[in-house]
Amino acid sequence: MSGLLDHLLKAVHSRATSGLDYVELRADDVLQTSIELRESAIESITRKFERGHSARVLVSGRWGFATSDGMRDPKATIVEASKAAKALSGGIDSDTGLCDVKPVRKDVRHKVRAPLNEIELEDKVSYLTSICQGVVKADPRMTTTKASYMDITGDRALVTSDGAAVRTAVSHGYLMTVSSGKAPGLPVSVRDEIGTVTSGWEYFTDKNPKELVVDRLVGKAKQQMAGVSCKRGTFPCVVSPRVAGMLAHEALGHLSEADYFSSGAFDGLQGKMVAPESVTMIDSPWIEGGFGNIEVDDEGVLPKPVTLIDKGLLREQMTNREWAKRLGIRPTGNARAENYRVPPLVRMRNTYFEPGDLSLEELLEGKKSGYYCVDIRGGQAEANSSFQVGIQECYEIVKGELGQPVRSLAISGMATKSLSLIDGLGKDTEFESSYCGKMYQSMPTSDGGPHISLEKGAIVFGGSA
Amino acid sequence: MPKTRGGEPSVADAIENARLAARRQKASQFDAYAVLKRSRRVFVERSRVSGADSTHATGLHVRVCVGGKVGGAFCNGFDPTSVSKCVAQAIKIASLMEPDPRWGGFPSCDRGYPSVSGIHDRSVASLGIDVMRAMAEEMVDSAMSVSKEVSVPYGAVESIERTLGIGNSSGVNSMMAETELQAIASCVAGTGLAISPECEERGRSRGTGLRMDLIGERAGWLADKSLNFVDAKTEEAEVVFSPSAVGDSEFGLLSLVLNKALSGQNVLQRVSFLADRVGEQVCSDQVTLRDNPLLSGRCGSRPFDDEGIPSRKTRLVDEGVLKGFVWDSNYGSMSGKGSTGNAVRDLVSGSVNAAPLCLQLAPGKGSLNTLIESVDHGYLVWAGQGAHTSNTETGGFSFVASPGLMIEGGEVVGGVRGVMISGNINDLMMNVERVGADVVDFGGSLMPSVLFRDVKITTG
Repeated sequence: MSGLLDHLLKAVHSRATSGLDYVELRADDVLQTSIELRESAIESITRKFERGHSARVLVSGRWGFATSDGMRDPKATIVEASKAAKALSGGIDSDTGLCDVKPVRKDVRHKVRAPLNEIELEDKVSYLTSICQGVVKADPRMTTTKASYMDITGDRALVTSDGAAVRTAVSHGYLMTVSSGKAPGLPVSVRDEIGTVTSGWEYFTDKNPKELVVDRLVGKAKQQMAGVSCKRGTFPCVVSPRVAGMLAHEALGHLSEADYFSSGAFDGLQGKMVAPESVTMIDSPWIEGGFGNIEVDDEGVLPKPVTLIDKGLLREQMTNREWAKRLGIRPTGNARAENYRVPPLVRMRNTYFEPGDLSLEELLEGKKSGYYCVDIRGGQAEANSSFQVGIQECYEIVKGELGQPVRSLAISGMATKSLSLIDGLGKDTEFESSYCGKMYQSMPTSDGGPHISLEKGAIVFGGSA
Repeated sequence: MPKTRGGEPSVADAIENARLAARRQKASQFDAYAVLKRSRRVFVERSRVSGADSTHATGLHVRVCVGGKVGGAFCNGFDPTSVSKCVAQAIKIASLMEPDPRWGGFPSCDRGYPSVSGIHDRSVASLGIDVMRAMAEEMVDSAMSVSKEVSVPYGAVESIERTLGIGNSSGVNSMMAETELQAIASCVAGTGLAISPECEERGRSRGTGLRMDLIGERAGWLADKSLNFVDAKTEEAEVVFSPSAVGDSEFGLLSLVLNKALSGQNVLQRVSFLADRVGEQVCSDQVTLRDNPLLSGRCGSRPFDDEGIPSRKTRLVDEGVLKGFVWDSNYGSMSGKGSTGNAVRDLVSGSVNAAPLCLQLAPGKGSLNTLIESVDHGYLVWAGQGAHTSNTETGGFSFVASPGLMIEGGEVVGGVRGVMISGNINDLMMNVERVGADVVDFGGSLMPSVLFRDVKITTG
């Protein structure tokens, strides 16, 4: 295994760890490339070399955590973390401990055809320029397009005092493109997000060729320009896999993270019906092309799929080692940290509703009027299950068929109530890639599911966004 | 200046190493921005102190100009080898850029820096974890003393000391040290489907004077009040925004939207709804906005911006009339307005943008309670979900009040769920009825509570 890993292994076997109940060392040696481009003008290109490590220790039920940029001796960082933990130890009872796991030793490498760090910057700039220029060419009403690209490559390493040793070759790429335009008197703004943690440059050129990204952006912008305003209030609706995924993740998934569960709306409902029998929701560590894919979590645990809702029944929580021990349930491998600078938290990976058996036409048929929400632009939820999602592509439903497009709007609701008002699931499944924020840490995740039909009362539609 | 760990290069060393590497590698112009951050944090989970962090972070951003082409790179090592590699990468990136005919070099600084007092407090820098633990416990105890229904799922007390240095080939050579003490209490009341929203209260200060008891008590009060649910209806109503709903850097609607809309860069790029409107009445006459990073002891105060240009006070809106925007040196030069000392470096992308450093809404009269008492029927928004999805170009916004409370007869009567507030920021700003005097320091802004009329409320 790599030098980075050896460096940590020496420290974890040193005297610095004596008297500590648990030690976890993580290190990054990565290169991040960022490109911001508007039309054909490069606004910025930056490369960032990041090398550093952290130590997380558990002493008498108290956590201590310390970070150090560069690769100064990790033993000193262990000492710093243990000092922090020991400063808290007097006079406090603690039930904090870790469940036992089988230590994982693994070298994680993905099959990457065109490594991101081997692609010339000129090629990346050319791809982004084609997208930005392509949007304006495709529809002259589009006035400006900005592409924000980022990739991270390099090595990450993790070792723990109970024997885990994991090296990961990082291949993380992401692109967000935002386009703005103006129909008479009506400014519009649309965005497109794509990302990978398991592929190389081929993810962009093969799976998301520039023409496809342009088509998606222009298509969304055109329907907004032709759109009518959304009525305010609650209406029956059908939501696309992307919107369903946002609900699965933001509004329901967070409630099933063990560290949030007891202070959230699902508390007390474990083992009870929270949705119609047709509804099953999963958080999986691995799906085809998932932006949330992991092979080992950031505590060295082999991750497992978690059935959060099983045929309507609230089933299982996502855990890290600490919460698995506290609750007496299995560790699910959901501990994830954005980088070495922060400790791992209980986080989702790829969260989705299982499909049903209806076609989109059948889902629409059941609605005399309402809305069909297709694409999102950001969202937020909190522990009482309240959610808010920006919608950038939407259509009226009139007598079971699609009507006029609707301008950019926002939807909201209480997810626990929305869940109970699901009245149909489509047979298709799609996923979207985005970053999830929790406690100031941003993690790549995928969310998805089938088309879902909801009764009136499930979702509140409000004004423009 | 705070010292680095024994034998390790300092912020000043990092800048000097960049200067030497740029010269060696024949970059005719360079600019270096180095930061050393040390922080200690005690955190609370499940209503008790559960751990502590100690962070030592360094970062260097180097920009070079070669033949009129500018490139930049980052590293987090201050030693000559790391810095040299970083400069080489910046030069490589510069070679890919088109020469900018408007490029006038990295900015120079031909006047001295203003004196900004009270931005570094040794007592914050030296706070021990044991003292911070006591602070966190006081905050938690105060929150839970409000009601037996209240718990504190998350809280933290953090001390931060930051040293920042900027140097360039045009003669800028700036150095500053600052401290900040931050506290956050996040409370809920009730359980399961009857749980309140997360009710956060935050405090930040350059010194140690934060009242932990008040932070805890306020968060606990909010959670407890939010638990008594009342029904809201779809209507247009008066709405009081707390200072957090106005100015918090993560969810404060006005700060999030105005920081972008008042950026000269966004104006030049035609992505601000305020572009071309200087001289127009864009807000109610109750609204006067300044960018003022010169105030003593404020968390957004500083003597220079992220390019080393002296900070200054800038008029933005006078009694509702738009007076101007904030500029960094590059976009200020393109616009002919010049820099207002408002460069902000994006430490992810490396771009240098223009943004307010400390946006100040001039206080009016009365406390938050005074504003609430003046409302016969309406709502109090303490914080919002989704304010970050607001559209700076169109002014469109939509967010869910969370926590949101109903006001009847001048009193808060209970919490409301899933109340969506939407509209256009143009209309909202014209509908400012009254501004409070209860200014809160959010770091990048100083904001009081605000009463708006005719706000669109939508419920399920």
